[in-house]
This record gives sequence, C-alpha cells and structure tokens, in this order.
Amino acid sequence: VTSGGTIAGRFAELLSKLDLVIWEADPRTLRVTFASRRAFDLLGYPREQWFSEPDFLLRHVPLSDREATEATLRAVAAGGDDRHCEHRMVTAFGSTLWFRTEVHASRNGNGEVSALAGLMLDITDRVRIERALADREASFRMMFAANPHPMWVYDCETLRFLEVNDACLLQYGYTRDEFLRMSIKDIRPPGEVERLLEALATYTGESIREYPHLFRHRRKDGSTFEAEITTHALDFAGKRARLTLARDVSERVRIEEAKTRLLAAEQEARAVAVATQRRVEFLYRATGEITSSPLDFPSRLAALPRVVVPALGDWALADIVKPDGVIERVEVVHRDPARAESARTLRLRTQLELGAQVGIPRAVRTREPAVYLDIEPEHLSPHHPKLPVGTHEPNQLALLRELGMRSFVCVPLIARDKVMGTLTVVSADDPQRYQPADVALLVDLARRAALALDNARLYTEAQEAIRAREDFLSVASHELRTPVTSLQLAVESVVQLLESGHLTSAPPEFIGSILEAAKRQSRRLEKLVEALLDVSRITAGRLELARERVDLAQLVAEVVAEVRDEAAAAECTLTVDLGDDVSGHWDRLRLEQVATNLLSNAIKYGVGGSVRVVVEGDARSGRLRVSDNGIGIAVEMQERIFERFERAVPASNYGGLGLGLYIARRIVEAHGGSISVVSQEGQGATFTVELPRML
Amino acid sequence: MGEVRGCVLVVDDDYDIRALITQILQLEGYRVLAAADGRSALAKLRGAEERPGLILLDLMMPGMNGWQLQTELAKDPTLAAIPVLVLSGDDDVLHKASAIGAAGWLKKPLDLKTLLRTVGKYC
Repeated sequence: VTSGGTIAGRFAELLSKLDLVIWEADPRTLRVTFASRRAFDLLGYPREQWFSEPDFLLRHVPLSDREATEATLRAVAAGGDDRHCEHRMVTAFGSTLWFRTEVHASRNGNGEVSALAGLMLDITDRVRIERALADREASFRMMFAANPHPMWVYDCETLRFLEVNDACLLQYGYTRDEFLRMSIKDIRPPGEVERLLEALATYTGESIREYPHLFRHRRKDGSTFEAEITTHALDFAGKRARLTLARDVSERVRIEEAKTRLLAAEQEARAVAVATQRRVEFLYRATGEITSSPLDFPSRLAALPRVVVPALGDWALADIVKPDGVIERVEVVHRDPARAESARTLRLRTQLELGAQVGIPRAVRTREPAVYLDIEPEHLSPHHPKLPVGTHEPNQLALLRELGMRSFVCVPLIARDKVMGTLTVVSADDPQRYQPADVALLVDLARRAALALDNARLYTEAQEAIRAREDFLSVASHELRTPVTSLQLAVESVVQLLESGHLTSAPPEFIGSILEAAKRQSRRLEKLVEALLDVSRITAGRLELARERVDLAQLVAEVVAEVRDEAAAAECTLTVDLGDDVSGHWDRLRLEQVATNLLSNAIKYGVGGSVRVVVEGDARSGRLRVSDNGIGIAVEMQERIFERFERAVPASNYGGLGLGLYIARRIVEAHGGSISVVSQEGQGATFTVELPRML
Repeated sequence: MGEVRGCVLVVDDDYDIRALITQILQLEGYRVLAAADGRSALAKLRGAEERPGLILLDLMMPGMNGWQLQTELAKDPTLAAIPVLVLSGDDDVLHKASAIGAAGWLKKPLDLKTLLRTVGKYC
C-alpha cells in the first residue's frame, strides 16, 4: 500500500476518517515504517516519534499487556498466520485506550516475510462496557453466592435445581451435587407438594416477581421449618427458570403464633372481664329491684322471677318454704304475655311432692342448686324415669310442657341457715342453657335475694309482733276492766244500800245475786291474772309440770260440769262422749286449763250451736277432741291462732286475751303431745289434743 | 227509790255487768231493757212498748258489736234520736265515742255515782 495514485489517495482519505490505525513495521526490528494519519490524532504522538523510536509499537503498551502483545507480533513475524490481540496503549495525553490489533505478515516472491502490517481498532468503549458488565455480574454472583438466605435457581419445566448457594447447603444439609440431582419437590414434606404445585400454577409467565408465599420445607435430616419464598422469573442459559429466595421464618411464625395465642388469651380475658362486669351490673340491678320492692316477704319473693326474666330464662317461678316444710308457689312469670294465663294457672294449681328427689323439693332438701339439662318433652310425663320435677300430676306436667321446659335451675334461698324459698329459672327451648357460670350467677343472686327477703321477713315479723302487742294491750285492758267493772258496781251498790239505810229492807235474793256476781268476777280476774302469769312463765321457759296419774275422761267430765252454766247462757248444747279410764302421767291442773280453754272457745265461738266433747285413748296416748259448729277458722289463720296474742276474729266482736290456745299448746307440748285444728270458715272447728300416756 | 224514771236500754255482752246495771237502775226507779249484743238490742228497741230514752252501749261484743249497732240505729230515724252513752274500758273511749256520734261516755270500771248522775241527765 502506498500513498500515491488516485485509488490509493482516496483509500488513505477514507482511512484517515475511521477510528483505526494502520501501520507497517519491519518484521525483525518491529520499527514502524508506515502509519496511517489517524494514528497521530488518536494517540497524540507526533509523526516523527512513530518512526524515530525503534520500539514505538511496544514502548507505549503498559507492561502488563506488553509481553502478550510482543509475543503476538513476533509469532506473526516468524512466519505464522494472522493473529490478533487486545491491549492497552498509553496516549501522549496520559490516557489509556484499548485496541484490538490484527497482525498480518506480508511476503515477497520467495514467500519470506517482508513486512508486518497491523490494523489497530479502538475498542476502548466496548471494553469499558464489557468490564462494567463483568463487574456487575460478579457482584450479582456474589449476592447469590454469599447471600445469608438460601437461594436457588430451578428449571420451570423439570423443577430441577440448576444452581444453589452456600446458605442453601447449610440450611438444607444437602451437598451441591445432591441438590443438582434433586427437584424443588424434594425439599418439602409429602403433604406440602400439592400446595407447591398449586402455587406454581398461579405463577404466570409474564410476572417477574411473585409475592411471598409461606411453605413448610424439609431438611435432609427430616426436620422441617417455615420458609417464606420469594421467586423471580429469569432466563438461565436459555432455559425458563426461576430464582428463588427462601427465608427461614420459623422463628417469626413462632412469634406470630405466640402473639396470636396471646391475643386470643387477651381477648378471652377481656370477654371474661366483660362477662364479669355484665354479671356485676345484673346483680346490682337485680338486687336494687328486689330491695326497692315493698318491704314484705311475699312481695319481695314475688319480685324475684320478674328480675331474672328474660335475662336468665324464658320463665321463672318463686316458691316459699313454710315453717312446716310445705312448699307454696308465690309467683310465676313468663316472658311471653300469651303464656301469662298458663303461668297463672301453674301458680295457683301447683302441689309439690315434698319427698320428691328431684326439682324444687331436692333443692330445698340438699340446700344446693338443682340443675336439669337436656329435658325432652316426654320426660315430663308421670311415670318417666327422667321426670325432673317434684310432681306426678298429669295436668301440671301438661302445663309445664305447654310453657316449655328444656332446661332449668332451682336455687334455694338461704338466710340464717334456713331455706326460706326457692327461685327456679327455666329455658323453654335451650337444652343446654344453664352452664356453671349461669348457675354461679344464680347462686350469687339467690344469696343476695335471701338477705333482702330475710330483712323483709324480720321487718314483717317485727311489724306483726308490734301490732299483736298493741292489740293485746287494748284487749287486755278491756278484759281486765270488765270483771273490775262488775266488782266495783257490786261493791258500790251494796255500799249505797248501806249508806241509804236500805240494806236491811232490800230483797235478800238481790243482795245474794250481787255477791254471787262479785265472787264470779273476782274468780274471773284471778284466771286472767293467772293466764298472764302463765304466758310470762312460758316465755321465760319456766312452765313446770306436776305429773301424777290422771284420768283424762274424769278430768274432762269435771271441766264440762263447770262450764255447763256458761254453755246454757250461750244457748249451747253440750254432748259428751268420754271413754273409760284414759289415764296418763300428766299435770292435772294444767290439763284442766287446756280443757277449759278449748271448751270456753267452743262455747264462745259456737254460740247457739252444739259442742261435742270426746275423750278416747289407745295404748300409747290419750286424746281429747272438742268440736263446735260455729264460725270456724280460715285456713290461713289456723297456724297463727296457737301463737301469743293471736286471734282468728276481731277483738271488737270476741273478747278474750287471745292467750288461751297459746297456753294450751305450750302445756300440751310440755307434755310431749300435740294440738291441732281442722276447720273451714263458717263450718265449725275441731280441736284435737294428743297426749302420750307416759305410764 | 220509788221515784218514777224513764226507760234505759243496757247493751253489754258481759252477763254480770248487764245484770248489775239493770238491778241498780231498777232500784233507782228506771225501767230497764237489757241485751247481750247489737242484734238483740235492735230487736228489743223495735219491739218495745216504750221507747227507751237512753242507750248504755258496750262496744266490744260478739255478733253485732257496738259500732255496727250504732250504724243500724243511724239508719232508723225513730231510733237515731235516742242518745247513746258508750261504756268502755278502752283508754281511747273519748275518741271512740265521738267517732260514732255518741252523746257521752262512761269509762269502765264504772263509778256508781257517776253512772247514776249521768243517766239522770238523760232520763
């Protein structure tokens, strides 16, 4: 190639515009003999320097590239084929450029190498890019290899591992070789593989990154852990692959589970606290309602079912336990107004069997709540072995079925160690309504209610006692003044006769009747005082008996003889049926008192009728029965008439201290016997005294 | 004695009081009707030849008591005019007597002179 000629001239022109340098050098000395024009601009060295410096071609190549570059030049100069090498050259400006140099040997006619020709292409930009790429790849590779979390690349078709990092080996316990023979299915417990396949099916080809998934992974030793998987689609050596990052989140899951458990525990505690608060509020409100109801026992007991319905049941009932153990219904309340009539019928009709081992009688006897769950309608039939209530009466059971009874609780109301009544709460449709917490709440309520009820009872009793005492004082003054009036009139009329000088002229039968009256009334006064003293003795517990052998029949015969006048005055007929020798070891005077009281009452209250007196006996006891056909005694009064100061009728109609039956009862009881009455209002009464003979 | 006085009705369930007052008033020259309770008192008043000029009335009696009798008397114009003296041992006799519209009262135990003086005011 020369610089002359037209074609050569245009070629040289073209060369000067390209970023490449063409040179020619001596194959032995490597001294430059020709260089294209661009060479001087590109490297900045003056033209002379290219030719004057014998080792120009190698001198400006940095030492690290120089040996390889020289070797390439010498090899081509020694007659080899064309070669190329990539090397740097330091420019006159101090910068370094990268060149790719193609070296070619020119031969003469003998085939000997006559010249070396070189073509230097400036590849600085390409190298820079390649170097940057290589740097980046190295750092990516480092991020993969040195990542503390397990990472791998797997083949999307075969699911085989293509690459795994060191953290993977550490976490899973397999060697790299083992990994590369496995698929991603092999690091999961059997149950998890299906989930994996489902998850893979959702990874669409387009998406590069998938959201984290939580999987359970298995190590080589069989142990498992929770792995959070992040995966990215990528092209790996021409295969559709995914880069996967697995983070062991067992600890995090454990903490989250603990947090969840803690939260659940806290929520449970909160629920308990809320329930407790509701209970306290309920108790507060319920107790308030009970204590604000009228201060008498029946009103307060009747208030109880109203307080618990509907909060604790569909219907509820309250029963009172009377001193003699009889259980009496006070109130039935149903949430459904349509059932009010049935509830009322249940209140009026109920007759509980006191000996029953179930239901209300059971709660009364055991003093513990009686709880019945899972009640089926057929259990509420008279002969069913699971009958949960204290009655066998078919109509009552039908009523219970109608009102609905799937479960119920009966709690006793206990105050001062006495069962005063019961509260029963019923669920009409929930067979499992009453759980321990409900029963506890009812027991709590029952305890408070019992106190309120006891207060009411004490108050009522105190009121009644005060009233009875006031009545007594009024009656006593009347009773005491009547004989005193007669006595005073008798004495004063005799005094008047004496003062007026008519005493001797007055008819003797007149004087006699006055003195008889005085005698009778002083005896009556004595009896009244005696009765009052008896009450005082009985109250003080000083009623002493002087026992001797007494024939009750004979004793009653004498008393009958004494009251004949009284009976005649009241136009009463006395019929007497006295057995033979009804003897016992008794106090004669005290029994006379009893017989007198009973007979006087019969005459007093049976005015104009007939009084029948019977004495009979058997091996163990003697019995006195006094019947009249007078005004009778209302059922509700029959217990009270044996109490102090009590009377079944107003004192404005019937005199008397109201102490006779009380004294009689205490005398009979002191003998170990009993006194009872059978009566209906308006149909007379029969009093029976039963006395053990004690012989 | 011997002086002719009016007619008095004594109503008291106590036999001796009734008998004594009757005898004493008879000795003083009164004509006396006696009844043991309200019902027989009404019967005596309605069947009497001479209408009594005064009723001595006990309050607490079996059957028809003093209050009930007074109610019955008030319904009958011929009987309502008869003055009533209440006989009672009750401490509250003054109020009870005025409550039923009685003309006066005598407290038991009865003082004989007071009884005769009071009865004398009416007949």
